[in-house]
Amino acid sequence: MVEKVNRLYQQVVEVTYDYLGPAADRFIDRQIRNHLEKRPEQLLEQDLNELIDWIRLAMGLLTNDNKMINKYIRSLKLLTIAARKTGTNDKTRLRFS
Amino acid sequence: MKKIKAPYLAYLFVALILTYLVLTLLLSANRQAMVHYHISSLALRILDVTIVLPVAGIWTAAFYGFTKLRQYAELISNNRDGKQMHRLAFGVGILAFCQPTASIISTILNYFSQHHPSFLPTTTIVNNYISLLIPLAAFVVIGEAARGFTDITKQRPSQRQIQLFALLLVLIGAGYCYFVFNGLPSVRKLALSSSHIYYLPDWVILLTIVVPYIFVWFNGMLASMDIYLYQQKIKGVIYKGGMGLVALGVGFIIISSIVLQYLVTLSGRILELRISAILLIVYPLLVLISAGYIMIAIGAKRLRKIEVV
Repeated sequence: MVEKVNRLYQQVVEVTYDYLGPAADRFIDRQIRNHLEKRPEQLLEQDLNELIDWIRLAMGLLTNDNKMINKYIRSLKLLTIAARKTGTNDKTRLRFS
Repeated sequence: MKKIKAPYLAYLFVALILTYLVLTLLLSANRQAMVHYHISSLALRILDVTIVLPVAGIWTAAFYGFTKLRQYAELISNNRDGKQMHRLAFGVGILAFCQPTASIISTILNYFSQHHPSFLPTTTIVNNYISLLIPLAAFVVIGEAARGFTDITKQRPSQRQIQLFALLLVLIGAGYCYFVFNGLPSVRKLALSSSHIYYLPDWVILLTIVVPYIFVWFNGMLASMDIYLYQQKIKGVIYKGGMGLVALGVGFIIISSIVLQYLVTLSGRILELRISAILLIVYPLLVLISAGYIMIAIGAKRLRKIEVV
């Protein structure tokens, strides 16, 4: 079965995994679906800043540790820089499973 | 199997608690206790209230822990850890519902044996086995859930951890065996043998009470260790916080089960103490038990919050 995997989305989930563990993908999926009104595989570089803002808000509800939240957000913002550097519009790749 | 809806479970639980409270307070007072402690019927009733209400509070804490775990498990049903969380919730649910049920049965049987003293051995035996079966069922289910969690992280205890675990279990089991069959010197002096607590021959006590209880504690301690290992291995600082509380809560419940059973074996000695001393032993145990369930509930709430924000 061929499925499209959004590399950017995977990177966001990987960063989030350090903070939310097994709940990372569900958390990011929910932020993308509810606030960006997109499917996770449709996540683009230009959506990242808005997504980060929503993630910051949500994390503020989960913890009072601002240091941890700031560290998490910084890690996510590095993805925006990395995404700009790769500079490709094709954010998907095919994965055979 | 059709899942029972939450409101019906709540109604059932409230019915069990009310039934227990009504039975305890309305059935006639234990005359032997009144004579032994030199107190009136009213004083005994007041004493009953001071025990029964905190016990009902513990069961309520257990039900609260169960509902929060269940709510969280329903949110993550389609995920790998969802199945294990359902099992964990089911195990806590067994404790939440079966303990009041057992107490209702025990209250009725005790009342009957007060009026028919020849029924006392049967009452004691039935009560002991019901008290054994509940944690046995609950901790086996909780143990399966905990093992499922470690299967996710492919984590197994180290050799050193296994050795320490085995040593601890042997010590607890040996101590329990000693107190069941020997008791304290003063107990022996009063010729209060184990048969007066269990009304069974020693070999039957060994095979059907002591060994099963050690097996129960083995399952419980293993479950605690597995959940702890899962919580250590899994990533996610915030997730670990919630899961850690659940692990700690399960540990508290296991420890309180062990302490409670030790106290049962020493009941002959404890009952000789003054009422205030008995309450000083009972109340900290009640706090320990309820703390376990409350930690489970708080941990489950934190985990659930991650799934809804």
